[in-house]
Amino acid sequence: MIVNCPKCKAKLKVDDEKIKPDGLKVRCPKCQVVLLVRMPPQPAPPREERYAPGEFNRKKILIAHDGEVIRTAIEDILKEAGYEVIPASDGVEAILKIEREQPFLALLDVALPKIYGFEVCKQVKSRPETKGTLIMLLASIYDATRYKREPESLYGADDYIEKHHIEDSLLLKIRQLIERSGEKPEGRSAEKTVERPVATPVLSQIMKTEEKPVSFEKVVTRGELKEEELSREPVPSHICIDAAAIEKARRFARIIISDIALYNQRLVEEGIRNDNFYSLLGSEIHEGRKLYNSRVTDEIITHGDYYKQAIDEFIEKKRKTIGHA
Amino acid sequence: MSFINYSSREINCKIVYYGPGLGGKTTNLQYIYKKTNPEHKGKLISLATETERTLFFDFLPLALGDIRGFKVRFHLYTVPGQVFYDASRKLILKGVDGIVFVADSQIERMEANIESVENLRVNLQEQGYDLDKIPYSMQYNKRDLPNIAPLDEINKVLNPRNVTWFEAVAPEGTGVFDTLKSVAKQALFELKKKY
Repeated sequence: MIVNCPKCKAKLKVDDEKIKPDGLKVRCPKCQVVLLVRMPPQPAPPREERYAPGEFNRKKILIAHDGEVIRTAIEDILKEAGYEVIPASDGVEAILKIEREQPFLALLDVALPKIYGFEVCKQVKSRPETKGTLIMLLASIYDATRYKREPESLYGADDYIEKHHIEDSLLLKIRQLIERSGEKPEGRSAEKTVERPVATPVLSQIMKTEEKPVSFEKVVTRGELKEEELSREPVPSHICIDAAAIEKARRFARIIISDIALYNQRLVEEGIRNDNFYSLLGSEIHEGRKLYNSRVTDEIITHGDYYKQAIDEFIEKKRKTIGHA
Repeated sequence: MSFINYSSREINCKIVYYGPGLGGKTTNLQYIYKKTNPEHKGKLISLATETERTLFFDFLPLALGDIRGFKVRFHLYTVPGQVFYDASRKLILKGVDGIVFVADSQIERMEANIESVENLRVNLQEQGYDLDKIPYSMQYNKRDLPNIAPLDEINKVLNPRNVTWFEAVAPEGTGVFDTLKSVAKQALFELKKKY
């Protein structure tokens, strides 16, 4: 197989037989970048089984939690109600599966490994092709009188459910959420709310989640997905960049801009009102860029300008808050 | 690493308040300073430049007793929390005996908290310390504000090892001395093992 290096564009010849199911690491002899090469994905399934961007599979629900016991318990409830369940044990897996499988609902634990659940939530809600996915956070708050969650504390999620209420009210909450969003549900819970007895976790189900090394996955942009669907041809090679590392870079970029804003509140407001944010905070933004570049790998810098993206997203968000949208 | 002043028969113990920018580290220190007996404390020193600020003072809490006839004098420091001032943070961490991490409980500062904890771990490692072994307490500050992360979430994300943690409203003093006592106790325990 011939693989193009994403950095220096050199063509590398890779022996197909050496490529394992989880890929093969190859160092580019020209620029020394390490690539993870995977076999091309299998041919696309027939069109009727696939879902276009923004078109959600109303039977599929993604459940992302690092605890197998809780994942299995939720899976059982959902399967019994007629839903198809997509499990994910970390944030990277959750994002990829939401993009690929287009579930209409994702149940996310906040503290997922690799990419935190609240970051998954922000990412899913910020992408046009996935923002319609309903998100319900899994929380374990027992003192509801003290910590009643306000909508603005949900990181953009549509609802949340406390873990001790999963058994008795998950299906009801899903139904209410679907009704609020104006969709027609397809699971059997749509017809009636199933009252379930509280299930006892089976001890044999308790398995420690294995901490796997961070997988290298290409972050498929919507444009790329469209092309794949239109051409129905296998992608020639799957060169992957660590999705968790990208999210970390994005997070760092957001923190830099958040810190700049925190210490320059007056200038930030002035810059947004007068549309001269970049010039007014030029030196701070420049310093931030230097810091960002010093902490982020060349591969990620080449992959995308997440620093600029973070600033633009911040400006957009702030503009809405101060009523200048 | 604590150092001993033989002439005054004191062991000096350095506690650093770490955390994201504007999370309440300075407020913690100011509150402690205000409430400490004037006879047993030094001056509150502020090493401030135009953009960053470090606070420092030392005090001798008599109630803690002594170690082999030596009193323990605590030196409390804050670091500049803004991401830009990593060099200052590294410098202040030198010779540290205990850490208080002051987290900002507001949802919008969750990422800054995460970055700061990771930065603390890295900076300690560079100096041969291990965050999992050093005396360490966690404080979730600003619990009086409306848009805060629930405790279980913030604790799961920032404190997977579940070290002793406290809720705080630093300007009112809620949780301030509890946090200090907790880290001081751990630091003393370590000192007693050593001397």
